[in-house]
Amino acid sequence: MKRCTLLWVGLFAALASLTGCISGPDLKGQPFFTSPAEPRADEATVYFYRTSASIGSGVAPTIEVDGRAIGSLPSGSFFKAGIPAGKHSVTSTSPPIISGMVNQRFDITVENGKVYYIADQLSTSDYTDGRRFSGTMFYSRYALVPGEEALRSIKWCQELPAPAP
Amino acid sequence: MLGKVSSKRLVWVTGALCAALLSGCATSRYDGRHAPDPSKAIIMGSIGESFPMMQPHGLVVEIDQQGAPGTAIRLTTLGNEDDQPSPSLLGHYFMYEVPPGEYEYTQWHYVYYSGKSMPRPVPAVFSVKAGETLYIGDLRADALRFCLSNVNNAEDTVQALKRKYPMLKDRNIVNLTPKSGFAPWPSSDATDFGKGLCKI
Repeated sequence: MKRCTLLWVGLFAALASLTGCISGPDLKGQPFFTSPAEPRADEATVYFYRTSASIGSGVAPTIEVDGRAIGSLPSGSFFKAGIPAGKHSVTSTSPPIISGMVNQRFDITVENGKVYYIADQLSTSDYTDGRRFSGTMFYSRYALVPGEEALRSIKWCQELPAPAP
Repeated sequence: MLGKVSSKRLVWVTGALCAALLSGCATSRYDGRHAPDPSKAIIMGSIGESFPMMQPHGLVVEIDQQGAPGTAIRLTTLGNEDDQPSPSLLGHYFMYEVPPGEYEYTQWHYVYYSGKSMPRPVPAVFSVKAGETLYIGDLRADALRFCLSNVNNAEDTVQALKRKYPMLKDRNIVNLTPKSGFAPWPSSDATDFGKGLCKI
């Protein structure tokens, strides 16, 4: 086999295996969001969600709160996090192959006993409602979404499977 | 023997074979010109896409019979007649003769967009029995919200269907939309403009 062919085959195999790594956990069979859990009094309940999107559907950013990874967000998924009251730094980090394009960092201030919805959203036009933590050239954003609005979207999301022990 | 067949001919034969196999996967429409098969049901409704500012994008909706692979009903706006009077709406009234059983709306998309329908929290399923004639709803989508709805518009649509298919004139048509209808179903091209998906 020619060396050039071998290189192409190797590159293709590497890219194919990378796709599996960056798209995140498989959501097949996972339950859909139905209603928010009863919030605990000693922490804030924060739902991170991302509806299925054609753009970047194969990428699952990792969400960190105060430097600690708490989950990833494959396209069409959600997960719940309990966060103590106060101001927290949230970071969404995408795999290095696309870093710099969709990495985001923002702060949220939460109160115990309350429920919050943070949406990872994409749009083909700029957001104008002012509910933006940060923005990029692709009009992606993380937004603190009011409950009523979030429930219309998060119901299309499936719960992120629990990480293997 | 195969060595004597030219590669060009082999490609044509393979292509024809694939086309023949694929054509068997989709149920063809029923035009009502022959007597309905009493062992089957007739389902009918309409499909339409609105395009207020642009051109049609080719709405495709698929309905599968559960447990019977290869019996998909594929509804498409492009390549079919246009029964909609509005210049910004493309679609038609349809009628199919189908075996009794459970049917599910499995997916929808636009031909000229990359998005596909989101997985559904609750499957959109309806069942039909032999001999029944059923109105299953008006399927509507637009390329602003990128959501597909199946709404009850029986009063107008059934009349239009009777005009289009005279054999329906004296038949008892049951409105199945309480079971077959569904609320807006987004595709992965749907954008949340700050009011939740499927809201503008």
